[in-house]
Amino acid sequence: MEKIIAILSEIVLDVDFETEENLVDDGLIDSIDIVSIIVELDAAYGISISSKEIDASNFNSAKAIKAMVDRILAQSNPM
Amino acid sequence: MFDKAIVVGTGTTALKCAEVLLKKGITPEIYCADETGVSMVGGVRRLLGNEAAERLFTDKTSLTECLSEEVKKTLIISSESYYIIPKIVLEKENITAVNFHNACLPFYPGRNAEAWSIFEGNTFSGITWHYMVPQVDKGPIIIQEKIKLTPETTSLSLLRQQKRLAVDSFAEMIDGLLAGNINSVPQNEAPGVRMHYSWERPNDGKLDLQWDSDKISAFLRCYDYGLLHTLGVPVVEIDKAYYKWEGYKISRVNTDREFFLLEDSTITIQKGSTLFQLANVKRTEEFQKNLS
Repeated sequence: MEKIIAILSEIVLDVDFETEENLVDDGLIDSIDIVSIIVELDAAYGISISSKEIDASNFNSAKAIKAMVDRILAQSNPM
Repeated sequence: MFDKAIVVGTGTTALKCAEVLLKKGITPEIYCADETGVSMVGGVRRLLGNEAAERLFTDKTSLTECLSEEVKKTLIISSESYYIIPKIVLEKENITAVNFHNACLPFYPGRNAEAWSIFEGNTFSGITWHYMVPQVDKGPIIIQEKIKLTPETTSLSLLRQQKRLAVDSFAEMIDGLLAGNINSVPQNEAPGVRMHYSWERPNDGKLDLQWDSDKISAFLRCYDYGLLHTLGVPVVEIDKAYYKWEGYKISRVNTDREFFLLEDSTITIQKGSTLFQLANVKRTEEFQKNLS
């Protein structure tokens, strides 16, 4: 979670990502922020997040973003 | 100096400008003259409540009527807005309007300034807050800040920096703006500068294999908005067929050669010691010179 929060904090200032659960729904991040987050997550985790994932439910909190990244990682590296 | 403030725009920059006003004890009205600022609804609800959120979206004609009928001394803040405030509003004596433009005016007036400044190989871009006059992006400059462009800067990364700087600069100028004692300077004439319109695309959306490495790099980076296709999908023409790509990589190599190769789903271009790899390449008939 720390890695995700560090990425988010670089892109969006003045938001408490530890507690905030409505990043999209409360207008704290917009489309430019979301695609910027995707670029950084792709680079940091070696994944490719597709446009199908751009949904408020995946970006409303650091926890939701981590769940999305974990799911994509699991799909790309099945046990 | 003002009885009322109105923010017109989309995205978090407009919302953060509204927050700056709220911190000064001013509750602005916020309007969005198109449906592209959907993320605005929640933000306006958070800042100003449900009623303001319900009033947020309006069509351009209704917004013009509303603004032209305004009788209070009003400050309009325009930020990332697709609505061009008309002359009939801007010439009203009780209206003062300021606009955020994402370039150092008088250079790059008009749309998609971030992409044009990268495509044309500039060493800096920036932001400008200026008073609005009926001629688009021509009004006196209130505040301007520069941003250094590097060989890694993309349209997306530049937009992000510009949005951040826009809010910081707005916070810096707001006291003087509200007091009516802030300096502004008329824009200098800039020979050769022309307005870019929303439908225009750098080099009409076509990567030219004859370009040098700096130009190819600039072209790829100016079309790079991450997953957004703000300027549409660029193409490269090879043997009278168009190809599009989903990603690209620019790297330095030790050899000094010049070639391009289309193999499987990758286009490799080497120009001197710079290697370009276009990934997930697909043939396309979709090439469009202008955006609709």
